[in-house]
Amino acid sequence: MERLRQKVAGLHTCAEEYTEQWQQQHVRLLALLGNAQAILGRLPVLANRASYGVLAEVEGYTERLQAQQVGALEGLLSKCHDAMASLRACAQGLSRCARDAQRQVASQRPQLTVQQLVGHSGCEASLQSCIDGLRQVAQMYEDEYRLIEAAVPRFSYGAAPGELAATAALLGDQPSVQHATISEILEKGRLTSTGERRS
Amino acid sequence: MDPAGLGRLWRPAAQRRVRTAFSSIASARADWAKASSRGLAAATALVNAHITKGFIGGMDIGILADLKGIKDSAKMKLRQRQEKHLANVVEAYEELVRTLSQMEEAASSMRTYLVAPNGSPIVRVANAEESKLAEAAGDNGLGQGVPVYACLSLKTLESLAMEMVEFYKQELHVKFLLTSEFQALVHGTPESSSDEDSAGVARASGRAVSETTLQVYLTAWLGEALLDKSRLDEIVGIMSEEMQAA
Repeated sequence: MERLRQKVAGLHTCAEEYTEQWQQQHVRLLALLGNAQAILGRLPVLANRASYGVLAEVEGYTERLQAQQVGALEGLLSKCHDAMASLRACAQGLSRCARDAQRQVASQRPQLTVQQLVGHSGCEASLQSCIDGLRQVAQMYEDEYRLIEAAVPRFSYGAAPGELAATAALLGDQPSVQHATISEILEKGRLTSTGERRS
Repeated sequence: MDPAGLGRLWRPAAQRRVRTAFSSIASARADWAKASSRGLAAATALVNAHITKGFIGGMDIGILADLKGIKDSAKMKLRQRQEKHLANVVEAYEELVRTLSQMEEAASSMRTYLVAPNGSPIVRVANAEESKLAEAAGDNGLGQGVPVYACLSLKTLESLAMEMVEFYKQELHVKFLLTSEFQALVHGTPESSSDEDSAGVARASGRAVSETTLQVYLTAWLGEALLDKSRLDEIVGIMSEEMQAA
């Protein structure tokens, strides 16, 4: 039983690492989208030759600058897809942690009684609440990834600047990720499963 | 020069010169990137100060309106800031000129001459002064077209270096135009008493410069559209492969 608790605690630590990686990649994605947003906002201005002032006199410059900006935008969007792939890997990793915890408990021999599964020992969380917590965390990140997947394609040619700003703000908020709840779940799972006590 | 002499003396000397030249170009390119980035930061600050200055005239400043001349003081302060930012833009531009000149010098320093002083049978690599004499005597310093490293001749390597320099020359011309425009933005033109009208449109080089044009100017400084980065990377790749293959 103690060994099982340690394994579940290990899965909470692993889940915490995934959430940290998610956060890093999310910051990266937001920075990339911010730059893409700036270029998308500039493209209509760059399409107007009258905006080039003295540079209009440089032969072929208007086309070169537009091509350079479009190239930079393509590069940013490609990096966004890389960041999204990393975010997807984090979300999948969290789901795997939740599934593994469930599997560890189900494969325990002799099989755990309901009392052992839901019972508390002192202020330790029950095994069932640890598994539910991991599942809840995984679900939050899966939902958030779905939002990202739906929002990122909006950063394309012809998008309204206001819409992009609102989308970027929405992604920045991470509406599905409740940081306080996640910290609480992971901390509880980690501490109680290892038999440590919170002061 | 017989082929044996070329292999023994000319090739190692030419290899050293080519390596030094491309290393100097790489260092100048890094300096260019730093100076360009400093120039962009200064130009952005200059444009921001200019736009803010344009807004001050029509700005509702509430109770502060009772303070006599406060808007003029604010404009004066912004103008001083613009001048400071302009000085930084000009300084960055001058640094760009210096780095380009370093690249040009490096690209034209690869030719390697061999001399036999005072009719001596002993041939050696010429120093700078002797190189000039050898060049005047008709030697082109290209080692009769033999490969310097693996397969590219000195003429080809020189052309690659010159091609790199040419991109930077074109981009420097754009930076020159932009720096001149920023100067005119801050100091105005002799015929205009005010450097901006009521709509916040500044005049530079005798033309109206709108905010969108200023946005294009900053994008142009940032984008460096005339530096063909993929070709520059390709040349660096060719050089690197060539040196490693030797």
